Formats: sequence, structure tokens, C-alpha cells
Amino acid sequence: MDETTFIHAAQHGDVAAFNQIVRAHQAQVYRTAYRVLGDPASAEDATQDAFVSAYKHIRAYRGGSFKAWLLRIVTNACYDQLRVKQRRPTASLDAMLVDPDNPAPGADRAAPETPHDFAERQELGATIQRGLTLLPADQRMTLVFVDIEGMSYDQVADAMKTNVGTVKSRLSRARAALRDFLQKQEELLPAPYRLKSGQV
Amino acid sequence: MLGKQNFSERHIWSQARLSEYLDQQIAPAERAQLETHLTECAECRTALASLRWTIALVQQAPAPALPRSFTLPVPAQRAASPTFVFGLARFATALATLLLIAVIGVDVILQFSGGVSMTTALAPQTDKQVAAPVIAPTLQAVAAPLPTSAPKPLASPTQVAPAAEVAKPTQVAKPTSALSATMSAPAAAPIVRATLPAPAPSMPPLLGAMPTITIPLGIGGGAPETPGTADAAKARSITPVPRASTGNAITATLTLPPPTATLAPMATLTATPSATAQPSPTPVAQARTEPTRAPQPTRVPAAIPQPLAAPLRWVEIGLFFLVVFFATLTLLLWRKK
Repeated sequence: MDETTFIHAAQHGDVAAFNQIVRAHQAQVYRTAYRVLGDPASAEDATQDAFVSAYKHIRAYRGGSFKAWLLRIVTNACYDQLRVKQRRPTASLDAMLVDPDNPAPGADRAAPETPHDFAERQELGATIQRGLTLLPADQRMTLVFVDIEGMSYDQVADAMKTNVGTVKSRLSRARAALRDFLQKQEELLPAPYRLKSGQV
Repeated sequence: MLGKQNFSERHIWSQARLSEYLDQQIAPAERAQLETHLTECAECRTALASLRWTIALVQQAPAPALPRSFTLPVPAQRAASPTFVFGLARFATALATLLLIAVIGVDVILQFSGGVSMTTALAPQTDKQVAAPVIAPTLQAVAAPLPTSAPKPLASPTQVAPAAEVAKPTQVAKPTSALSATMSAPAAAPIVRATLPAPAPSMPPLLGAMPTITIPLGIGGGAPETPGTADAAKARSITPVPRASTGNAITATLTLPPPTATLAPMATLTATPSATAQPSPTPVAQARTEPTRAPQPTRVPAAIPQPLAAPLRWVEIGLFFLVVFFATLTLLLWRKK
């Protein structure tokens, strides 16, 4: 059964079919929420809220990219969590936990990763997360959607209810700001991830 | 100067387009212009390389571990029967309520409008049948102070026939009088036929309550119908006459004494039961005189709805309990849902 069948069944109240959709998208949704929010607990809440809201409003889905439709709900859930975090700032002890079985998209998984490499990658992830946290929420979401989740500009514009021009400008500023942050933190990065002079 | 300004403007323009250029989201004409500038601007080439490095780092960042599954709890599958039973109970409640309302409506209609019509419909039957329901109005009609010195002629043949029976000399001549009465009556020696049905527990009070009995002096066109009127000695005798047409009733012919006699406290009736009548120690005497047989509409409605009212009451009670039962069942099923 494909996703369309599950969506059709979920639109008729089939929770089990909707859970199939949840299983297919929950890693991406949680990853996005975690990158945007920078806090596992808030990301968990946002993910759960997003899926509950998606189930409640799945009858409003009229076709098109379900991923974009779902990420639009995730965006709203993240905004809600950001407002909550602004009112009640929290610090998470397990913010550095990553999933070794669920690597980042785009990472080369051909060679087996040694513990040393895994540790270095965890350090890289923490540094990037700190840099993302410094970005404005709109720029952060745009960068996460495009560079981490691999969404197109149109999908991001649809998910964030804006136009492609705004997405381009937000992404450009977000990349530039994160680049400046990473260049300042380059000495703290593991050697394999530093900017080499030959790359320029 | 213009060339430097153009380079500066192209540099700023190129810096803003590097991100799009990396994502290949730039138009072909702008792409050519940007690539031309990159060949002559080392700063833009460095910026482009650093952006590419940044993107690579972000994409190499490890994904966070999924803390748990976010699947929604699947509600327990309810059997289809409770829903069916709930609908059935709701329907039964509505149906029983409607039936209860309908029965109450019928009852109310019978109470307020059915009595009069039934009285008029049953009035002829009281003339043709001498039955128990007619006893009370007949007695009251007799007890009423009617100026019946001149008896009215009977209109229907069914009313004339009993009068003829009364006029039979054999009924009066028979000395089988077991019924004696001491009453205040005119000297004209009227005749009263008393019909005594078997179940009559309320007779003595009725007779005792009679202050006076005004009895018509004649039946059937004013002519004297009893040969006993000439004989004063026989006037005190009452001859009970068995009547085949009265069923279980006793018919007695009374010849009332002269007006000097006293009535109420000493009125005694001794009846010989007929062949089909059940003897009763305290019979209700239906003194039937044809001129006073007009039905009393005010008394009949109390007796007419009785056979219909009792089943209606039971139906109403039963329907009421049905409504309560189904409503309770519906509420319980609704709370379970």
C-alpha cells in the first residue's frame, strides 16, 4: 500500500493507516523540530503536536506534496514551541544525544564509522546546533528545510506560507551567518571538518 | 571609475546570489554573469567555497535519536452491536413515548367528549333492555317528585308491552303475594312494577332514603289498567309476577295502600324470585314506571367508560414503564459511548 492509500484511509478515520504515515515521517519531523528548536524535549512535544494536528486536519489535505503539507504543520508546531520556550527557557541535558542508526541526510554511510569518527561527528553536530540556535527562527527553519531536509524552494515557500524570493533571501542570510559562526569556531571543530585552504 | 563601480555593484550582487548559485536556482543569464564575476573576484570565490563548506558541514551533522514512536493510540475496536443496540434503544424509547402520548390522548378524549355521545347512543338500549346499568336512573326517576297524576301514553311498542303485562288480571289475581309494602300513595291505587336484579347491595339505603314516592296513576292512555283498583282490600297485596323477558330480574306488581299509610321506615319488600333470577336478600328494586323512563344523561357517563377506562389505565402504566426502561437503557448506552 502506498502513501496515498494510507492518506485516504486516514481521511476516513483509520488511525492505523495514519500511524503508517507517522512511521514513515516521524524521523524527519522530529529531526526538523530538533534542529529548529535545539531541544529534544521541545522537539518531542512539537512532533507529537504536529502529528495530532495532522490527524485532526488530514481531511483538509487536498493532494500535492504530503511532505510539504506535513512540514507546514511542523513549522507551526515549532513556532508554538518557540513561543513557549521564550516564556519558559529551558536547558536540556540530553541535547547532545544523536541517533547512530539514523545519520544525517547526505552523510557518507559507505564506510563504517569508527567510535572516534562518531565522537567527532557528535561534536560537529553540537557546534552546528549552537550556530543554528543563534539564527532567527525564520532563517533557521529555511536552512533546516533546504540544507538538512533537502526540500526545494517551492516546497519551503509552501510550508512556510511565503514566496520563493523570501525563501532565497532568508536562506542566503542564514547560510552566511552560520558560515561566519563556524569559521569563528573552526578551531573547536574536529580536523576533518575544518575549512582547508585548498577548498577555497 | 565606471568600471570600478560596475565591479563593486556586481560584487554585491554576486555575494547575494551565491546561495542560489550553489542550489542551481539562478537564471541562466544571471548564472553566466555570476560566473564571469567569480573569475575576476577572489573574495567571491572564497565566499562561495566557505558557503559550500558550511552546507557540507550542516549536512554531515548527525541526526538526533528518535526518543520514541509518535504513532497515535489506536482506539479499541468497539463491537458493532452496542451501536446497534443504542440505536434500537433510542428508537424504542421514541416509539414508546409516542404510544404513551397517543394512549393518553385517547383517554383524555374519552373522558371529556366520549361520555355524552355514548349516553345518547346507549339511551335506546335502556328502553329495550332492563339491565343493571339502568337501575340507578330509573330509581331516581321514580323518586323524583313528578306530577304524574295523568300518565303519559307510551310512545314505542316496546314500552307498551310491559304495560300490557301489568294489566293482566291473572298477575294481580294470584294471591302469591310475598311482597308487602306500606306506602303513602294516592287512593287511586297505582301500580308499581318493581324489577329486582340479583346483585343489588345498595337497595335498603335507597329505599330508606325515599321521602315520598310519587307514582303515576295509570299506564297506557289514562285508563285504569289494574282490575285491583276497585278492590281496596286487594290494594295492599303485591303480586310478584315472573317475567321471562327480564332475565334474572324479579318483577313485582305493587298495589299501594291508601295515603294514610306511612312509607319510608317500614317499606319492606319481599320478593319471590323468578325462575331465572338469583335470590338476593337485599335486592335493588327497580321501580319501573313507563312515564319516568327518560334517561338521565348526567348519570350515564359515569358508568359507560368503565369497561374502556380500566384497560387504558393498564396500557398507560405499561407504556410509562416501557418509556422509563428504554430511556434508562439509552442513557446507559450513551454514557458507554
